Amino acid sequence: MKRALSWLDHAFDRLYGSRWNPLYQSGVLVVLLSVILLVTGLYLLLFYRIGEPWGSVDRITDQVWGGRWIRSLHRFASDAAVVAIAVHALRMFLRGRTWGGRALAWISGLVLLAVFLVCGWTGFVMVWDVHGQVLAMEGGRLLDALPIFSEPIGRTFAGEQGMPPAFFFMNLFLHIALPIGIALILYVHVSRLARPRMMPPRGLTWGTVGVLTALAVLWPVPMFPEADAGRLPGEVPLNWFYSFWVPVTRVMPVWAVWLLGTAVALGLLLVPIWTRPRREKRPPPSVVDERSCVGCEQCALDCPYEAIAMVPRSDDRPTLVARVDPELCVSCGICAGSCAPMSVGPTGRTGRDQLGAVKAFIAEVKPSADEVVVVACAFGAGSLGRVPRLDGNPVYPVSCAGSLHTSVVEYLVRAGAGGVMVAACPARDCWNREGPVWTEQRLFHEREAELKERVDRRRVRMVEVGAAGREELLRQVAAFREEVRALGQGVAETQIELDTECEVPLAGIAGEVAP
Amino acid sequence: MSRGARVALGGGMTVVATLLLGALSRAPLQWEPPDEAAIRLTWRLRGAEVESCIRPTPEELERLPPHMRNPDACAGRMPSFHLTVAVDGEVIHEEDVAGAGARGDRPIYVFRELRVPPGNRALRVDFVAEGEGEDVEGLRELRLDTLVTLAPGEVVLVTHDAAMGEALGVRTPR
Repeated sequence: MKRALSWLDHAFDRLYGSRWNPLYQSGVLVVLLSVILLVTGLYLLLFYRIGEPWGSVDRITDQVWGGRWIRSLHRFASDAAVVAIAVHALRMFLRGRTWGGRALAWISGLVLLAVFLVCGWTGFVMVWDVHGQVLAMEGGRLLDALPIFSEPIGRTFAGEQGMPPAFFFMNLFLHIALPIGIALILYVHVSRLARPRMMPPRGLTWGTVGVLTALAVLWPVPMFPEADAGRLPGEVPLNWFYSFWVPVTRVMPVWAVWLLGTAVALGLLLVPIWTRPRREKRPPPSVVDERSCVGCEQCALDCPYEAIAMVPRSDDRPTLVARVDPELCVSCGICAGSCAPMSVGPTGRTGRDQLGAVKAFIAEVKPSADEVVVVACAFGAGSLGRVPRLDGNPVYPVSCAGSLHTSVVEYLVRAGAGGVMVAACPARDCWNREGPVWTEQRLFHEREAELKERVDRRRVRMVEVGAAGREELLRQVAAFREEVRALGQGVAETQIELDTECEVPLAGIAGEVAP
Repeated sequence: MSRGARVALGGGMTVVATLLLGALSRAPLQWEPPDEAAIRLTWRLRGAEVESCIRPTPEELERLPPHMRNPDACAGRMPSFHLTVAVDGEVIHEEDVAGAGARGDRPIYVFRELRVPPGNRALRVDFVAEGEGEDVEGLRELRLDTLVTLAPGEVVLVTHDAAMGEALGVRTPR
């Protein structure tokens, strides 16, 4: 499944470009589609009558200006929203982004899906056509198994007394009230993110609106026959996005439906527990070395999960000091790349640890002036993983391109590598959010901890390549290598002094890393 | 792949996905076989009640706190009824129906839908209180014995209201 997802990502990248890849944007597409639902729903509400549900929708479809198209757009946007939620959830599940600090987002996402499905149910029942009738009858059958109603709900649809307007009033109330719940759940869903993106890029936004509008105009949803308690439903135009469960449940005993539903719901709700790695295998949260922290706040600014707070120091220095909340930290390591004095980061992946690792890498690999060192993100970068070389060029793996400390790049260039190519995930699909954005700014736009001016930028390149994009990466590396060769041989330094911007000098940083 | 080919393929994918969305939004499903009809039984019965009373002795009352000394504590429950449905002389459904609620003291609700072949059918429904010796007030039985004509896909309603006495009625659903 993971491999299939990577392949799909790459295929969509090639077709639509990584910026417009709808698979990467599944989460924000839900927000966009919700906005479409809100706007079209308000328009439809003006003409809906609870005393005449089918008749008023029929009038909307046939007589109200644009009614047929707006009703269809409302329907298709709701269908697409369910697809987008399912894609988003599947991506998060396959990537293991479901536990720890991300558990709240997983749970709230499931609640959001449930609310969408219930809201859709009420929407179809509102129309009171044969589809709405079978949904109402099946819903009534399932609810009647619960010992909480004094009278069977199903009798409402039996045709004994005709459909009471109070039922449609309650249904309409739910259909309007539930979207308010959706807004609240969305707020909770993104509440642990520092800078949640709420809308897709403009091109994808208008593309989505345009495609759904075109479908609504060219192939609108017609009016289906009115619900009739005196007839058995024959051919029902089922909406498979919201009513997929009905063909399954109607042939099952009610108790089996509830048992199955409870099992599925519990299984999904407990995903944060059963996908959580064992304690010894969990990536460690970031820690702060308070002695060398200068209180610059850059790590707190860069952390995508608001897991770092600046607090008063315990010693007599006047600055603040960073403190990591391990419950919120997902161990992305982005703070390690943000910290000039290399004071913060997950154990084993701080800037200082990275310098130690690159020193060992250079001693072992000895990159030459006509080679490009490929700094490969573990999650993207063509799934290089532990591949030692790519087309003859040494590969230096990092846990996340966003956690890469620019001193590592400086060190590689000054130690004699012809060039350094940082291969990150596509920006909109960063495993850890914002990694490629921060890295690009640190390398080329002087964001702390910036790549020092003395490093020749012509020898540094950054590319965004997904997990299935090895061929693309190969092409980029080969082209960059040609550019680097044209620059001629750089000067390979033997004693490299790094500026760690540390107020409290830590003994031997330069000496430790010198080759 | 050239830019033109990518645009064409991307556009084609978008069109296919959009059409799939439109199709799955209204894909027809045969819900019920076209050669069936149905009898829907639906009524609510309130009135028959079995009462069981506890009458404590004066000594027992004395032992209770003053506010709990009820000399005649009675609890009512609905009697169980036995439902039998026969079509053309063949019993197609039988069940015991008790009062709703955890204590069985709520009204009895009957709500069943039974599939039958279309055509002229002799329909007999018996809904009879069980427990001969019990002190049952109100209706003890509801009965229907009639001929119905069912078209394919048609549903007829077998129902009851207070004005119908001990008879069940057949009518078209509203």
